[in-house]
Amino acid sequence: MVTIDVSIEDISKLIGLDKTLSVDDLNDLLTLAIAEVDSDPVGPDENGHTKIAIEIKTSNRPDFWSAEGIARVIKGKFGEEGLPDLSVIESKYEINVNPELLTIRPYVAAAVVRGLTFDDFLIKQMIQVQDKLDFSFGRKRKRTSIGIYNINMLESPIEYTVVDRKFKFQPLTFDHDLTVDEIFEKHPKGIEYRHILDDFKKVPMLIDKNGLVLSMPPIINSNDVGRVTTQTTDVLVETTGYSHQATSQALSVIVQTLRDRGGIIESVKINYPDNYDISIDITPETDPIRFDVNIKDINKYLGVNFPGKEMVKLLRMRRIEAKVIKDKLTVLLPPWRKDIIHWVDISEEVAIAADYNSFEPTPVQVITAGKLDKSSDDENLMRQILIGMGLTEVFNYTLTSKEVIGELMNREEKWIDSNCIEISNPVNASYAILRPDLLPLLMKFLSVNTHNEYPQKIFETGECVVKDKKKIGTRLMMSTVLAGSNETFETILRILDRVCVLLGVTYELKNTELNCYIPGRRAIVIIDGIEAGHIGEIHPELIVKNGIEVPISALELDLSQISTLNCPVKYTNDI
Amino acid sequence: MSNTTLNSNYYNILKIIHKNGPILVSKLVTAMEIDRGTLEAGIGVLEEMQLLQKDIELVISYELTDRGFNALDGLVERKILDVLIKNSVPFKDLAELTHLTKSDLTVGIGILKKANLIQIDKGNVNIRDEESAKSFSIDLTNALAELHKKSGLIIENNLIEQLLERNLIIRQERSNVTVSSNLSDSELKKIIVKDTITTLTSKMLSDGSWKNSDFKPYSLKTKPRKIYSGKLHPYRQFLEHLKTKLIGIGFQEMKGPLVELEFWNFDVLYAPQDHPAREDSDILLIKNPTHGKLQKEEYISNVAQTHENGWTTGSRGHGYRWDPKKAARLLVRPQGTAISARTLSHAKPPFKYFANAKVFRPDQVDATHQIEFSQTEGIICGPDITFKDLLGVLKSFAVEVAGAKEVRFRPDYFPFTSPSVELSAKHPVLGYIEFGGAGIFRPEVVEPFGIEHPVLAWGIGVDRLFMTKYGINDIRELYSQNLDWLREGRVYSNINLE
Repeated sequence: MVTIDVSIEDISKLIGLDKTLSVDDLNDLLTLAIAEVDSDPVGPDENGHTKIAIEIKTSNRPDFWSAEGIARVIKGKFGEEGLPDLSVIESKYEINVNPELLTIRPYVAAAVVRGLTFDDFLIKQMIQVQDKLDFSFGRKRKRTSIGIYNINMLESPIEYTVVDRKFKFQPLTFDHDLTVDEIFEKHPKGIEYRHILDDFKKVPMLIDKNGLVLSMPPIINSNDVGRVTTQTTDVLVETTGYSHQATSQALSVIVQTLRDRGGIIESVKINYPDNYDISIDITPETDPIRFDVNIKDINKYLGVNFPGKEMVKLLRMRRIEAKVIKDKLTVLLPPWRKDIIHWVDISEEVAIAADYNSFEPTPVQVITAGKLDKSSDDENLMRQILIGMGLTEVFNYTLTSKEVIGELMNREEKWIDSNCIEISNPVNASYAILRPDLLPLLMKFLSVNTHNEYPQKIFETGECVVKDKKKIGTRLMMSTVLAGSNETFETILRILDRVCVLLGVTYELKNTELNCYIPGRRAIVIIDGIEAGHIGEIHPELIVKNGIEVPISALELDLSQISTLNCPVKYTNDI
Repeated sequence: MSNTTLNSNYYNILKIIHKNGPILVSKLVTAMEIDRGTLEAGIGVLEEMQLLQKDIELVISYELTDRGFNALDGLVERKILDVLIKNSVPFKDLAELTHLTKSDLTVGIGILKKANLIQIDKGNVNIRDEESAKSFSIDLTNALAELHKKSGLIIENNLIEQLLERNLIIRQERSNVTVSSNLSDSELKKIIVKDTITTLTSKMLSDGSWKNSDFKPYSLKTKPRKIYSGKLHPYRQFLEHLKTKLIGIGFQEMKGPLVELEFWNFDVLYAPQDHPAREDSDILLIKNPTHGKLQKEEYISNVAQTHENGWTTGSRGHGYRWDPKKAARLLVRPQGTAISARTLSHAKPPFKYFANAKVFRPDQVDATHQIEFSQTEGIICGPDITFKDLLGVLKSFAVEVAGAKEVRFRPDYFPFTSPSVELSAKHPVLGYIEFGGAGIFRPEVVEPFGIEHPVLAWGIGVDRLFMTKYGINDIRELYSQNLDWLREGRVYSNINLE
């Protein structure tokens, strides 16, 4: 998902409408761009712009991440159909690529755009497109990044070359020259993005015929040619990256937005050295992507019966060209539509153009017998038994803190290391470990309810995660705690006894050293010969540590170990 | 009146009240040596029979707080003034000289500055107006002392307010209940006294003695003592209702592990390995072990080739080199679709499956975001299933599950479906609410497992549905730790929104 800020007046004008869209109408039209309004409108400001945020849901349609791109597809509904203008004039500009870049940042694509008239608003919109492409599509500039320069200061050929880290130039927003190493140390962009180049002794640099530095991709532009202002009319746009396809896709996306703002596009010739598998590349791409699909396949997939001609009409509304050839469609896509990789994607375009709400929903025709998983049936059985004994069910998070699992249960770090699954990148310490059992969570629950009436008799059944013999298992557990002045080992044992009677199993108790319980009032529970849990009176030290002031007795059972229940452990590596 | 019958207990109560004229209930307890519960139950019955009259007077009293008791030997500002009246003192020494805690000292200085009685000059505290200083707060101190003695002296309202505000006293309300007889002496005499049965016993049943007695009536206005019944958690109950609905339309439940391999969560679902959703900042990773093992199954290589070049699915693929090590990385399940992915590897069409899954995302917790939440989702596969069937399934969910009458569809995006749909259902009051998302699994997702028919995939935002039904605005309340709410909340037999 990508969110952009646009002006309702500007986008209405881009669509070619005489009047400004209402927010509701805009939101309706945004379905065409798989987007929706994401904020209340603000404005209009002194320049007549009412700002609104739009959320675009597709992560694979970078061409939708701008007002221009959204307007482009909406125009299809208002008569401007088929492929958008892709025409390009040949320029005299060339870029020579240094062979050493093959292992650093191999690919570059570029275009010249002339005849732009930018005000502050349009410069901000252009920077927004660039930022969204660099961040989301460009994976924070690692995969691709964009540079825009005032071309009238530059002379061809431009060298896409490498320099060592002592090389100096004046980066954007600085008033003096810095070496590459200094930029990595001092410049905010250098600090943010140096990790992309850290492994390399030499770094990429774009330098024109006269030695003028354009930029150090993907880190920072130079302070003079790399600065675009309201005076700038002609620009060089370049993208660099590690994927040839992504690099040229990013270029065609941004170039098309500039074309929609009145720019005239000229191509740039890229000369690759001998160690590359391409030699000459003319960018931006102008050839549409061709796809052949069966009309029958699409109709069957959607459950409709559109004639070929109707599909052509619908696809043209989506700014796609199509032609019927016998029982097939030959589809031509703009060069940036790399998201279309299968004929089902063409069927989605047909469906969106036809409007989802125009399809008659058909009732489900797949007849099957519904049922719960056996473990759910048995979990519910356990819940019913406990409810019948007057217990209140609680529902806790599965992620919790190490303190709740460890310290507040008298468990050592070593025990946690060998039994529990910890999160390596937790958002905060309260959600840093997956619970290995439920008792700690119930203790925590009691600790925040000391103002409520006692006795408090609660239980939970739920999934816990335990590491054993290098396998990670999700286990269904049950825990019950009784808190109140009359609660003892005997009162909790009555519950275990009843549970076992109703489940048709026999239990025995075995001495244990478990230090969350009072010695002499604690036991391991063996059910039909298998160790299945523990029971006891909570140690006073723990009661106090948890801020509780009444006796507590507790029971924990691993439902996967009870032979009459069907709650197997779900192992991560099992299928 | 003439036929009034009372048991001897009630009659005795009435008689004493009648004899003593209007009397406080509290005095009656001592006079009759009876427990208050029995007495009040009796009074309740007699009042209901209009044999006596009950008058309630509200009595307000003020009690000293702990702070109040501490202030009996002088309020903080007085203690400070008493030191300062002798001479000016450096601020830093004031705590020691007054024996006040730092926070009390701050309070006192604040009061005195506000009253413009002192000034702090070059670190020294001086009295500005000695005359006023001598008498300042004396009235408050006296009022506190009077309240302590309970002398009954009437104290000015503004002093009470000040004492309350400074948390030196608290206000207590008590009601004095006075009862008096409604009967004349002769009417009292006409009452027939007959003992009644309080508790029916086995003996009465066997010897038939119950036939000659009346049953003591219970007051119909007295509330019983509370029992906390066993009670299911409202959200879990809601999920069970939802499951019942899904089973009713033929879905079978599936389950999966909470710790998942990226393979099932992402690779099978055709998310390229450099997809932004797979970055460390968007998922919760495991400390130890960091990686699991991929099984040596045929479909692993099918998935790998589908990513690289589309394999035989008719897709152009993602066009990169697929890394099995990345696919073996472990994470806490961020989407329930991982369970559907596992099911694809063994399910035989036709099938309809659902799962209710806890899922985990590294979000900042607030009223609309949780690190942990629930997703209910599923898959449907049959020979001639189509996009129109998908819309039909979604519509039936909105109608069957939420009781909505109108639905609306919008295009949506998921990396693993095409086309993808967002479903909104019309709530009678709230209007259209986003209800779920769905789509047809891409051939790149299902064909590596040898499934040749389309598979519909859908998800319902159950947390949102529950919150709508229960009128909850903060998503954190789903996991409410409030025992009172769990005990007292009403229960529902269904999940319909109406």
